[in-house]
Amino acid sequence: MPNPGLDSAHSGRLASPPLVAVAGWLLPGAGYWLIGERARALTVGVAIVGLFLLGIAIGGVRAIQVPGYGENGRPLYLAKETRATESGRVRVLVSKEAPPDAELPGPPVVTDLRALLRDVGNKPWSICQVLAGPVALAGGAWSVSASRLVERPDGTPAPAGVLSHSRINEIAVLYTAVAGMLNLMVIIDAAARAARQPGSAPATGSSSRSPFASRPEAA
Amino acid sequence: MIDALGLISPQLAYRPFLEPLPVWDYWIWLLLPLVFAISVVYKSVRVESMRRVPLEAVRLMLWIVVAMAIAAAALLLLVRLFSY
Repeated sequence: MPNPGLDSAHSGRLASPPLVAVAGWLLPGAGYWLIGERARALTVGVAIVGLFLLGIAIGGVRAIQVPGYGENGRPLYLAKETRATESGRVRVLVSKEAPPDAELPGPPVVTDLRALLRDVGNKPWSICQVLAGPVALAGGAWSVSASRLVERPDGTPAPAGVLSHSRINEIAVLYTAVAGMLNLMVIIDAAARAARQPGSAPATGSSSRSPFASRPEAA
Repeated sequence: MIDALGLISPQLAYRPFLEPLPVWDYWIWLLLPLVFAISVVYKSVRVESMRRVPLEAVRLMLWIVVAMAIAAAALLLLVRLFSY
């Protein structure tokens, strides 16, 4: 019985759910494309990428938050500081932004898992933004680059990109984060459809089951 | 790449993607494209036949906008009540 959800151009290709999931992250909608649902692929792909690009157009590319880098586009490093507490002086590790045109005085934050997770916690929307795929990674690289000081035509140093504030920044971050979360939903659905395809590869072993396959109904 | 747009349009008041769009006075209308995109993607995932997506996405968008307006009105009423 033909599947009413598939396009007339459905090629009937089989694709494994992990491949569909990875393709869906690399290019929003590509997961659907691999399983032959072209119209669905184009619709969600254009919507998600369009939403992301509209977000960085509204708030500027610096609306993309990049863990491991500071406000001026320089990498964060770990520094030891001595702080006075009630129980005495303690040495703590803090994240600081590297000075301009100088070597890092300490190990980069990205090389320390705890410090990196702490910085991700300071920039929680980055988790959602990265779900949009390489377009978010490219945007993040551009955001870091746009944060660095350049010499303007009038000779004054200023970041290449302007950091938006208040509602415009909130809306821009919301657009990019929602694009990522929508892509996650699309990835999960595409992988589930790939697992339900007739003739898809059976799970190895009688007791194992693909996490994306629906459970059999009870007798 | 960061300087490309600046070099191409050094005299323009607005540099795409490097500066925010000057729409801060109309920020509330920016929620509409967001709601539209959410509706389109959600219906594309849920509905089997893509031919039904446009109409169902518009319906969902209207529902979301109405619900947000009602929620905003209710919250405004609450704030006014507690401020007196």
